[in-house]
Amino acid sequence: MEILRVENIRRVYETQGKPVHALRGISFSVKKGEFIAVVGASGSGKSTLLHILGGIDRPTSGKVYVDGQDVYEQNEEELAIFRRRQVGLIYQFYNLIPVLTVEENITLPARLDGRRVNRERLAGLLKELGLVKRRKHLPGQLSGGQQQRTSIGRALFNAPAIVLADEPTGNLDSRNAEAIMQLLRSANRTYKQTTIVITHDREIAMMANRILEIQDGRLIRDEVIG
Amino acid sequence: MRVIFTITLRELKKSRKRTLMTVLTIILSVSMMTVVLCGAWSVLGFLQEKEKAYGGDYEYSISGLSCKQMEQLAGMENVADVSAIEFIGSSFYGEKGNKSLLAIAGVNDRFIQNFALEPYLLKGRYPVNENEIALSTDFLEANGLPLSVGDTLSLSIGKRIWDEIDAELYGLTNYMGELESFHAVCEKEYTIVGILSDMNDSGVARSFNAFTAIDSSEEEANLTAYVTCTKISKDIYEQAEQNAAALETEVLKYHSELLMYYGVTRGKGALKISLAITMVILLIMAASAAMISNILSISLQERLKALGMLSSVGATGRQKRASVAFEAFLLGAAGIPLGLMAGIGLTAGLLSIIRKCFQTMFTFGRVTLILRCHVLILLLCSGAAATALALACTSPGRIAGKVTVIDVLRQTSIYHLDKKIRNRNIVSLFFGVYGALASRNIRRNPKRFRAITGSVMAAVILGLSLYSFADFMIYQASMDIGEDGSCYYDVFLALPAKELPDVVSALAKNHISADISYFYERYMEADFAEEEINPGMSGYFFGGEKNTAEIYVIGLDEDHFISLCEENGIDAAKYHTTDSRGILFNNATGNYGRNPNKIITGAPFRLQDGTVLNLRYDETSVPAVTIMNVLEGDHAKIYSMAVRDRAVLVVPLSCFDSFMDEEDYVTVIMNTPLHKEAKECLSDMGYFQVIDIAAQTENSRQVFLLLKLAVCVFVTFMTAVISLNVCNTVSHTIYMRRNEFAILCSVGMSEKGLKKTLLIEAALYGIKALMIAEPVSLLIHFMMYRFISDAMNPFVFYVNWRAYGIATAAAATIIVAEMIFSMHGIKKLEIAQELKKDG
Repeated sequence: MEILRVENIRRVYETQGKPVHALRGISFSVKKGEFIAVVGASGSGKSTLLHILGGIDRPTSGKVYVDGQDVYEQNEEELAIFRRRQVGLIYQFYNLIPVLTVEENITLPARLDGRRVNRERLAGLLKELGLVKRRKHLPGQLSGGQQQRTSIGRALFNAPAIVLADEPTGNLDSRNAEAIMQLLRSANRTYKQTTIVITHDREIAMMANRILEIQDGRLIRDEVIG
Repeated sequence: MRVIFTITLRELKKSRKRTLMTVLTIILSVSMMTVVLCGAWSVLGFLQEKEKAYGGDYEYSISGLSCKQMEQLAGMENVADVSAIEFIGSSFYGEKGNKSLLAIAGVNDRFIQNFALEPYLLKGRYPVNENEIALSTDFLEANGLPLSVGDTLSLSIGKRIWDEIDAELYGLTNYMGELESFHAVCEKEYTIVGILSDMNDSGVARSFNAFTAIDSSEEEANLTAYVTCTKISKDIYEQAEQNAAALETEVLKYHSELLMYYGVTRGKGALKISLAITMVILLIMAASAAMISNILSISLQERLKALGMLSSVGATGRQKRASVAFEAFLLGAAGIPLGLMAGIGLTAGLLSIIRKCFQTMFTFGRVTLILRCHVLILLLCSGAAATALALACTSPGRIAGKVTVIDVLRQTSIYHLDKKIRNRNIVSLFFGVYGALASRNIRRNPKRFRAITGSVMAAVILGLSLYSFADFMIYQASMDIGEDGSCYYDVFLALPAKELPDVVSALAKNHISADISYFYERYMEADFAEEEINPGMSGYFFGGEKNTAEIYVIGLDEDHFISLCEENGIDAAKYHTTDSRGILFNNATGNYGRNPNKIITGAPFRLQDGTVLNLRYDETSVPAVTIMNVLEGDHAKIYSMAVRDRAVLVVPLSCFDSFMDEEDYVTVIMNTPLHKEAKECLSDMGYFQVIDIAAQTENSRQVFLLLKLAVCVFVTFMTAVISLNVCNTVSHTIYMRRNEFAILCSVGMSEKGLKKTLLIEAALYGIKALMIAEPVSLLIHFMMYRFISDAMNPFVFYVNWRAYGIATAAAATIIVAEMIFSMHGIKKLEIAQELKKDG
């Protein structure tokens, strides 16, 4: 079942009066439950692609369909709801809200939706993430690995259509990085969570079952592995 | 170190907008301090000059001195100058009466200078010896004397004796008629050397209408010396007493008003007013300094990351602190001089607007309101600003010295929450996650919180304090003014009852139509039974069990008594009887309650219509008065004629027939649009103590309108400055949280949700600020009330709740407006770009 379809998206930035072509007509589709690694050199357009898929950055042209819905046909209010319900984003630098505790950060998308927090799901997620004892702590009181796990929890809590991770292990030591990737892999296998990960790490890329390679804003390789 | 300064300079140039805002805030804060101090100094200087011009340039006076003692006094400690005056005597020219009365003073040349008598000289000069005289043109015209400079005048000089008691009638009190006799002492021929104008607005000199020089050969000790001191300080009192003791005299008076304007006073009332004004000035200076401190710390906060980077390349703590100090120095060097100049310019502008009005009201144009600026003021303002800057960079400097890159990236030194996070509070209960975010954000940076709430508190407290001061002063001035803004009566004087027909015909002759009412008034006593007194006003009564009380009794002319009845819905016919009947206005204001320190207003008596009052006047019983009507509440018109601290009993004038006669004085009040003409007419008739209430009221009204205008302008200016500070702080806060806003957007918070969070934050800032500001303002409001009520006419404490409502609305508007303005920045938020930044 197709969960994501990207049609000929282009993204051009204006930098000091000169156009920068970050993406030059990328098209692909993703089935539900796939674990995809997006690789490419620095500045190739990987993060730009991720932001467009996540509803954060509008493409200059092209279409993005998530679960059959044209993402950029929506207005700003609808896009916000889309980001809340359909997408889970994980960043290299965690990007947690500093004044909210671990469990508040994790449940933030649900609370923004005005829904009651599913305490059972939260408890399960905290256990799985190894954050039960840290649930009342602020981000400033956590290690890097713990912060990233909180970020993963936030991305997974609402069971979104797709999880997008931008270099999730870029700021972690190898042990934590492995643990994080195991979590993502586990969520992918257990919940059939479609996951797209940007990474420089070959080993992490090999954990995926499909690789997309971006170079100079173009998709040069789309390969199923393993 | 040079490279550090270069980096600092470039950082300031890079953040041009922030730098300009910082310098602008410093300029405005310094100019606010300068305006307040320069303005106060200029007005104080004006009041000093005005008092010298009208009251005399002296600090204390000693009476009963001889010429020899005068010379001794001139050589004593801290004596710069001695002005002398001597009452030579009175004289009547032609038929005795007010018009013919001459009061002659002997003065020295210092008196003429220090009491500013030169402007009154119409022709000629002042006398230089005891055979010369300068006299008023009014006297010459009233007596039809065609004399001028160079002519001679022979006078019989002596004493006016009143009522066969050997007590001298001094100066120009009204002619006392048959009660007065004249004892001639000598005959003297004077050469007229000067003609003078009316001296009614002069101080000491207004009691005289003729001046000669002091006879230095006289040995009698009857001179009054007015001492001008070399240096005015608190030691004056001790020095004056020592000087008087050295001259073996105890008679000593101080020029209290002038000394008050020099800040050297023993008067508690004046001291309290001075304290109130000083307090307001200090509050303004503190608020200005706090704003400077805040704006610099904002500027430094934005550079904290760069300072962390400097650490990573090897800058020492000392070098980083130097960077912070250099920034403060540059901003101060730019802002402080400009602020001083702006402040002086603004003061000059404000003074030029109010000058003409001010001078005319206070001094009839004789004293000029000029800009005065002491070098100490400039030093004080500069010093306060520099101190604020120095204190502002102490903490960031210390942090800058210690901060590392990692600290900044992890935001551990920027964001910290000291207190335990409560998962749920009232705000999050009502507003969910938006409320939770808002309530925690305001607590995350205590300094920022204090800056925003402190600014709002300062604006509210200062605004309400200034408004209270002006409001109470205007209330004082308006106590005798009707609801339509006009005073209850226009002209006031006292004269013997038998002269009233002359006054009426003189006014008619001059085509001055006036509604004239007249009355006798006396304080009388009566005793009351326990059930007749209001226990809540027990302080009104004395005499133990007798419950004696004083009542102000007015015997009003028949026509106006009838009018009074009609105005109050009373049947005047009830009063047309042979026995005495009256209307009791049962209201008094004073320290009459159980708490002797609290002024209350209320009805002292519990009397029914028909109660008979047995009054006593001067231990003599007067005919009993039956109270036909008891009226309670504030009948302002009656109390403006009478007194406010006593109940007032109004009876028809005929009730006084049995113990008053036509020689007794009546109080005459007139209502006429031609009040100035009426006063002139009465002065021409020789009545010297005519009060033009209408003119005074108009003056007071204009003064206080000016005061209110000045307060409004100042409060607006101050609010603008404080708004700028809040705007700066808020916009900085929003700027520093752009990454966080991007995160919230990325997890699905809509723009509407962001605005909601910020508005809740704004509301919390406002509520927290007002929760402190309003009680503090009420406290200051009460202190202002005590100062003014103790110093002037006592009145009951009240609160102008409308002002509090306006202040609350203004504070809320400031914060919400700043938040909404700052949200424009969020509209331009590029989520992707902000998320790429590492926090």
